[in-house]
Amino acid sequence: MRKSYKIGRNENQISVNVIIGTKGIAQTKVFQFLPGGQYKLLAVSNAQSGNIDNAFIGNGSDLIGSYLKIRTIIDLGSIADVTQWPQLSDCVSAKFGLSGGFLGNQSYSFDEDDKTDSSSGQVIIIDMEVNLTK
Amino acid sequence: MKKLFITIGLVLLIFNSPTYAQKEVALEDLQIPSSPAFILLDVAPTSIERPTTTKAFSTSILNSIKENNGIPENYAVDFAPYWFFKHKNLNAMNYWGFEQKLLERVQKPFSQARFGSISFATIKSKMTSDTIGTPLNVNNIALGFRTTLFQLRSNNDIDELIKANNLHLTRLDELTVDPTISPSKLANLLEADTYLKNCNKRISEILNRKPTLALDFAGAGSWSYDNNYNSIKSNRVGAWLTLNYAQTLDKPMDINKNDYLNLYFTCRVLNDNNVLGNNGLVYRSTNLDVGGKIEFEFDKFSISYEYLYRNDLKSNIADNFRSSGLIKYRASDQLLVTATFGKNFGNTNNVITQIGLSLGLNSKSQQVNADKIQ
Repeated sequence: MRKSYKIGRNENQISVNVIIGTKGIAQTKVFQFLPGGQYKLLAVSNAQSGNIDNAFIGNGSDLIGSYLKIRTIIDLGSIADVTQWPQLSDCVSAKFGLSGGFLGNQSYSFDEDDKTDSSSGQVIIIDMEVNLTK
Repeated sequence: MKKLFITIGLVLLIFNSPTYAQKEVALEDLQIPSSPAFILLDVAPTSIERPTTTKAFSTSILNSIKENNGIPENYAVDFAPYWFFKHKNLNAMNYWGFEQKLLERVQKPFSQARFGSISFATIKSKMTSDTIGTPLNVNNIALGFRTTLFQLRSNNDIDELIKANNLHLTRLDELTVDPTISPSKLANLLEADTYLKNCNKRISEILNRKPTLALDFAGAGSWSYDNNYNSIKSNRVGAWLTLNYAQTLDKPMDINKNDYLNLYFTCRVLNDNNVLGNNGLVYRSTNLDVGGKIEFEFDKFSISYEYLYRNDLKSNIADNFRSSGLIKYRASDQLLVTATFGKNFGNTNNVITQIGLSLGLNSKSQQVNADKIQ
């Protein structure tokens, strides 16, 4: 389910924070979807983990009226014991946060319907969507 | 070939089966036992539960209690509590034992300690009483713990892991540029990608290599009782500490590194309150074993020599040693053939000539049919 974040003033500087806990290989990307349907990439996690550490994604004026899609991919394929995959999928920890807006620091956890597993359970995708309002 | 090994092994097993009821704990192998609680029990549990979630764990315990109307009489479980919970600071690299900061990589040698496992078993058996007489039916409980206290990987392995991880992420980056692809379609696309599969295989191979240095610890205790609280008594308490050094014998350009020079230094203590002596009397012993092993490992074949000095801390039995050579051949993941020759502890009947066959069973709940776990 799409969440909501109040940005407030146009000059507010908005940052995103993502913390992913898994032993699989993880990558997170933050996309902005504009009202017309166009999108652009705002932030990507580093090579160490799927985490994004308070990355600046824009001023209020650039973001109000759009929504963010924070997409995290987790690949468990390097764990040879496939019987571990379902349990590792259940144990994925993911915290998403926005800061700098009217609401200050706001953190979100993902709902079960935000999470999708591939047919064998090797790949997990978590899509977190957040409406950015005035 | 496999059939021949199996036939030879089964014949040897039949003729080498122990025929005595009470026996000392066998601790021939210098490596730390994977489930230390089970090694302290005379009789192996027939089935070992290996739950990976809190739900599976509680279900396993409750079912067993329900089946036995109380404390189960034959139940064994081995689990790693760390994996029962979510951990926000866990990522692939710190799970592998290091962190990457810009161009620098930092090994986290103590990071593996948290993945330690707990083993617990209850089993009903016959035990010789303190005086000569008929064996008593007693319930045995054993509890153990094992972990890797310290681990260092070679710089070469870490460089290769970082390289494979970067290739994986680059490919992932290419395949995830379009956020409008539905998650289910994208998940299956990533799962089917050959390049990602190769990266995962490569990472898995590197992780399977032995760490250059590892310090393993295990401890366990066992107690027995016969439905009376006052009858609870300690049977055995043991602790193991092993330092492993592995030096690869492969050239840097070799992709699959399976040849090693392994050095093991070990120290272990075992207190046993129920040793049945040759005269039929039960006595107590506390043995401190210190020793080492040198092993040359060439893929499926290995040859080794071990020396173990035993100091009996309780009785006046003269200190003695075990000195033996071992040849191992791993015919498959499930089949291990071994041949040992040397001198065992003690001054009589101390020649070791043994050919063994180990059949591994890779399943969630393992079946153990052997009469004795070594």
